[in-house]
Amino acid sequence: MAVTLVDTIVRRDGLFSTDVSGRQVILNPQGEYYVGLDAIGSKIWERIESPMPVARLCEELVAAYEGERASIEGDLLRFLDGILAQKLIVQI
Amino acid sequence: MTDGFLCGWRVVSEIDLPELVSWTGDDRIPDVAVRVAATPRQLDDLVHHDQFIQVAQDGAILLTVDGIATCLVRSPSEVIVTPHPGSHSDEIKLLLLGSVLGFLCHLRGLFPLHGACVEIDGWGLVLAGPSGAGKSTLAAHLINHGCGLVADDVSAIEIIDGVPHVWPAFPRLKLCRDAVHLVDFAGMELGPTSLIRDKFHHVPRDRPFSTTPVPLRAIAFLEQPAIDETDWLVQIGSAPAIMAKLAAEVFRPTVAKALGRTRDLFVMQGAVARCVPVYQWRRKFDLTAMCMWTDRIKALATE
Repeated sequence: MAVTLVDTIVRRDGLFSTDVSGRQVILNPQGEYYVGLDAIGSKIWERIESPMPVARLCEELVAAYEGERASIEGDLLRFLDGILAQKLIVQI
Repeated sequence: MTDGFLCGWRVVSEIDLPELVSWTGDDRIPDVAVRVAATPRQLDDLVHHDQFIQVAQDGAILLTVDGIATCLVRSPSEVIVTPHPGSHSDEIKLLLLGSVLGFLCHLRGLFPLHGACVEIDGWGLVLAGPSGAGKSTLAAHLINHGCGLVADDVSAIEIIDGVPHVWPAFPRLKLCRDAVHLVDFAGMELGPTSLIRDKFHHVPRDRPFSTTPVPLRAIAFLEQPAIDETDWLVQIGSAPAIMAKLAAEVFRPTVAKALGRTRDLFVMQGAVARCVPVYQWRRKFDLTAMCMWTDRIKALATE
């Protein structure tokens, strides 16, 4: 199910991730391949180590980065949908 | 009886291992003792088993190669070997300095990368890739052009103060018959014995074998080009691609997984990916190509 602003999300338990030159690299849950995040994705990853309401995450990004709120919100939800599809996060 | 150096460990072995340089370090209790004794046919509480290898819940590893030997790596410090009737000591040494070395690396927290390592001006360059990729042949070529040998088939990496280092193994290279004719061995002593059929041991003789770990400066993954493809060398920029390359060349990965090392190796892969430029090198496997690339490859470790 797609991620929305009313969700709370968190990293899937037991995943392996590491920082490589400011970018997070994550081993997928099946241990089959590695997922690399860009700089902003890596910042988001750091913030969802504990359960995080998506709305609050969006507010933090709006405060941290220049850009239209609607654009940031859309980018965030697309990103979260992507890593949800990779089974890197769970909705709680 | 051997009292030798291997990857920083003091190894005392009832099976003679002349490949190792003599131990000249402190008067420590041996890090690894290799004894000849009876071994079980089967371990209890298996977490992995295949045709050759059993791994038990307590970390013991049993390697059985019919006609050669059974090797029980009972702990990080104890290896028990049962030679099989009619086996040749060279074949047993191949197991000890190959698979068993890999098992010990896993048990002792090192990252065994399937590749040869040479030293250039104090820096390590690992030539990694699958069997038959030409790692040892290229290492022999570079040694003939002023490099030092650190390790042949298994490069044992340890992260020391955040920096990946390769521990020297032993001063021998194992080359196939074809490779012997590819490389000019002016700087090497051709070994009088073959370790296995069609494999020749070569001992670099122009410089002493250092027992100091070398900081790893570059890793080149060797590949064969497609027909009519020109040679190329490119640095891998994608961190996931680097991690995947490193994971693909972990030595004895099934044992690592059975020992529960997945997270540990992942962390070490990350440290290597952070610190060490990694290259993909597709080149023809012949002397002309090697000569053409010699300076460029040596520069990877020094530039």
